[in-house]
Amino acid sequence: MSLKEQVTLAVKESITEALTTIVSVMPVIKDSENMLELKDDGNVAVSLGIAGKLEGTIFILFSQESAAKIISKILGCDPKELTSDSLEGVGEVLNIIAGGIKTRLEPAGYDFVLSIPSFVRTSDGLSIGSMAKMESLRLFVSCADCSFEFLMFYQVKSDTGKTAYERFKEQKSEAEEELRKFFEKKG
Amino acid sequence: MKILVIDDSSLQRKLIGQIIRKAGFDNEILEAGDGQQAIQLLGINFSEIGLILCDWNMPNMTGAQFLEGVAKVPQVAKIPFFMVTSEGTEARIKEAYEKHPLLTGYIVKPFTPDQLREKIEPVLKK
Repeated sequence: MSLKEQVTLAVKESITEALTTIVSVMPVIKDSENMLELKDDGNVAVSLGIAGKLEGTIFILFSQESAAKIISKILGCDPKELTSDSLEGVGEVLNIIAGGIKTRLEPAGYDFVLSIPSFVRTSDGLSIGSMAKMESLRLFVSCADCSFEFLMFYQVKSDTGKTAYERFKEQKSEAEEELRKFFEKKG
Repeated sequence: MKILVIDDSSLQRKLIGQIIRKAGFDNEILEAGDGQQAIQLLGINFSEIGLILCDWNMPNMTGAQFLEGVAKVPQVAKIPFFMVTSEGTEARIKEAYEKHPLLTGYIVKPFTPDQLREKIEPVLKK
């Protein structure tokens, strides 16, 4: 099984396990080809970094309405009872999903550590992309009357043991060197 | 007996509190958002705390650091202690027991209310 297939399977299993356990609903998970973009009024995004043999970032994006619905399902209360601060609770949903992904990928040799989730709330639309050339996995997840989008950028850490930032710095130096040579020849 | 719940997610702290209440226990629940806050609460209430439920990944001081600290202090090392975390790898579970050989249990998120209740009920009924 390729890395992409292993990651996809781990993600889908982890999302399914998390939602069937915490909200007792079997989710429907579909592949999403395009860059994630939410245009409803008010969105909530949570990101979490992974670092180790596999490195990258995982995001989940909810409309504020869907975030309120899933948190109210977890707590068994009415969405209207929630304060705006309660929406940060979706960070825990991502934390649980990410933990499940880690548990599933570690036996295959892809060990990594998880960062603390970060939370973003916007009143407008939101789109997310990666600056680095990483593999990406985009999924649309619906779960009863709420839905969210899942996005993961990832790559295997190089055999040299260098981090993405170290490789970025090297590539930058290589680019500078190439440019210098180009202009030396020209000039 | 008081219960100390340590998790940086207020949602998770609230949920654990609800499960304990619905199981019929009305123990006072002390909440901490990281290991540092937990140390403060444990220092003041250590003689009354009868159960600790602790997340692993938290800012400032992680659950693993807090666990290690608790294990080294005889006055608190005997308090029943469960790790409650989304990280269920064998390596992490082994690491937790190495840090605190008296660790009561390791609960992997996600858990159902019944799964959590089954684990902690024997401690609360003592």
